[in-house]
Amino acid sequence: MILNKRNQHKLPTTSVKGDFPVTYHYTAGIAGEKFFLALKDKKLLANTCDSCKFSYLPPKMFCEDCFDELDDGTYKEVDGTAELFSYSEVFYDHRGDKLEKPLLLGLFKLNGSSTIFMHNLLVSEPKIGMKVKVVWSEHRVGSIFDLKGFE
Amino acid sequence: MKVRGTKLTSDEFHNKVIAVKHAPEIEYDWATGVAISKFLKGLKDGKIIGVYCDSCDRTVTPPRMFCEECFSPMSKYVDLPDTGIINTFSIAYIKTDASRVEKPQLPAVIDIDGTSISPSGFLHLLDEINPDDIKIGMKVKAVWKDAIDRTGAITDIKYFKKMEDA
Amino acid sequence: MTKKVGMVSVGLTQFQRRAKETGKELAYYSAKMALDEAGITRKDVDGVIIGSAPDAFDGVHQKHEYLTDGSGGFNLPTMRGYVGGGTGVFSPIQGWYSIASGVNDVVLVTTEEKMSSVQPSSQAAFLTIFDNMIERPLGPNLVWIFALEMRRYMEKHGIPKEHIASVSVKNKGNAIDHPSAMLGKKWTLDEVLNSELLADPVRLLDISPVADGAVSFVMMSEEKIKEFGISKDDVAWVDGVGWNVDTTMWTNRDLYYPKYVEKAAKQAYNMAGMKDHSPEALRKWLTFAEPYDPFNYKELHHLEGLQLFGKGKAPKAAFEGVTARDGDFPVTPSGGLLGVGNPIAAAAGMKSAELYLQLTGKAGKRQIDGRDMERGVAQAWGDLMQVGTVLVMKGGRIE
Ligand SMILES: [Zn+2]
Ligand SMILES: [Zn+2]
Repeated sequence: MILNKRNQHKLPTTSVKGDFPVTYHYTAGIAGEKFFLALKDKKLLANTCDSCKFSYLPPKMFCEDCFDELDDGTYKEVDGTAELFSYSEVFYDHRGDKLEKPLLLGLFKLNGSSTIFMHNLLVSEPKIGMKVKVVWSEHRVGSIFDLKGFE
Repeated sequence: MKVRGTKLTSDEFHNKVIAVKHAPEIEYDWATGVAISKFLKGLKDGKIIGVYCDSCDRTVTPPRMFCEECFSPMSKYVDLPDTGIINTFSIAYIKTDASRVEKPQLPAVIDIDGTSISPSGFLHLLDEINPDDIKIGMKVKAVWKDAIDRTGAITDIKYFKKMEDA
Repeated sequence: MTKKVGMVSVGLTQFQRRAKETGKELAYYSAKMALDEAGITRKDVDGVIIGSAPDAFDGVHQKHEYLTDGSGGFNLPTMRGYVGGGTGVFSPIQGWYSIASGVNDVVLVTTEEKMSSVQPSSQAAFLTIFDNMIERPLGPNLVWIFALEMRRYMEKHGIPKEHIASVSVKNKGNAIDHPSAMLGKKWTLDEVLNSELLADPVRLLDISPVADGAVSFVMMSEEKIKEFGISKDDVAWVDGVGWNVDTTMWTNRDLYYPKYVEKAAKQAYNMAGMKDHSPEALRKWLTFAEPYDPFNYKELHHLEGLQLFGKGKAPKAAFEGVTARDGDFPVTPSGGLLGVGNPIAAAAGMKSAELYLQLTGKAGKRQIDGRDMERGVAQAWGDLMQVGTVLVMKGGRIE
């Protein structure tokens, strides 16, 4: 590329540093709020679309397929038992730093839901298809960490 | 027509509903590139650099590596005077983060002398002037930081001030 | 040969400072409403367009992916277009070319923004649209840029501030009749002129308020409109589209006049077969206009770019009531961004929706009366002051 060549003057590489000083505030929304509030009471909620019978966990305000609105009547508690769908042993955190202790992450198919749910896997010898159950945290505030994981 | 949506007060939004707060920890490192590197180096040397396009026969600043008009490469860098005229200005009481200030900042677009289109210049600040006296078309001159304090940044020019009648 | 395309319904959420709903839940409200109004379901849709402005507002990277389900895009050809503030008019343009090209027949278009996610102020999310090397170190605020443009415009034509302020009074007043509005109110000219000075000449009531909201449209080919048995009274035809972008070196062009809007407008008028671009001819040809009004002067600036008034002529006309909802040439009967609110992409989406609602006689208390609703133009503006998007639509009975 001629253009490229012509511009390969011996320029010092310079750059400007900058940040992005914002804080985001994400509301959990209509369905999210119900889900997180229930976690405080050790309840796992799913909701089911009447038209296609698909069950969402976490629940959704609408069925993405039928586009029906999923109102209060569509929510019900599931028992927290699940099947291990997939897992990974994680050695690095989101910044690329090595974790002191590797973390086991699982994908769970909860009984009573059609979706897959991600959380910590609290077993020493994981096997896909194994039966697991939710473990609750002592201190619950309405966050995803109200669950410790599945054992 | 029934429109929907759930209105939250500031208190509900910040303290009542379930929400997650997150401040992304991102730092950027933007390469200044071919043309702006020259421009910033020029500022460090106390000069305003422009660039000339052969096919359009025009000089513009800030310099760019290519002419957005005729799409030819641009590589004839020229030194421009550090004077110009006020193209437009504001008397601003609102800062970047939307907080308010008592003493206004005076942003202006300065049309740099020696360029061949109008306007051709950049955003900067005015000072040493009573805000009420600022006028579009007023001649201004750059006030530079001391050479030792210049780092190759747009802020190497502290501000522009009104030129005394020559 | 392109296919004839009609808009057959719109859906809107409430616009508000802070919504409890997530962005995708807002999108669902407007998308579902548009489908219901059209009398169709998602199964009838064969293409989805999502319009949303910077990811930095919602704080969701790749927002189109996040918004897909709420916008009805699950398992469908879905794409997002984005030209900053110009998006809300550009999205129906994308709907138009998806259908006109023969790729799709029934398209669901959704524009969305949830600006309350950015704290403490949406200003922070604007930071990196300034040049990081030569502008951001000076500490700019977006309001500065508008102030610089507004002053240049006022100086060039000797425009009194009263004339510009009258646009805030008109639009915020018109918004009282808009069900989505967050700021409909009758202000006096003095209140606007004496509101807090932010960056001279811009005062607080010269500016539209940031908001959360979503707006959707259903667009169809003429054959599908017939197939679904949709009455011509419920259709607004896309007559002309145009878009244009000026130099990103915004300090290298004279801010007093939006040339890019002129270019986009002429593209749209020519496509619609309107070759006479004089203000008098265009104001006869069009029944009304919804130009982009994030700031009051922008409505006037854009009316001139749209060729609806000569250069420097719009402010006096607005001040004298020509552009009132019951004036000779109604402008922003919706209440605009100034009154209804400014959830970036959805704000101009609301303007596009107003074209549809006025042309089909569904604008309720906002309906322009006493004349045939033949044709309207909506326009939006964005990126860092250099994008113009223009949509001309005509009533369903107009051949
Ligand atoms: Zn369903
Ligand atoms: Zn050139």
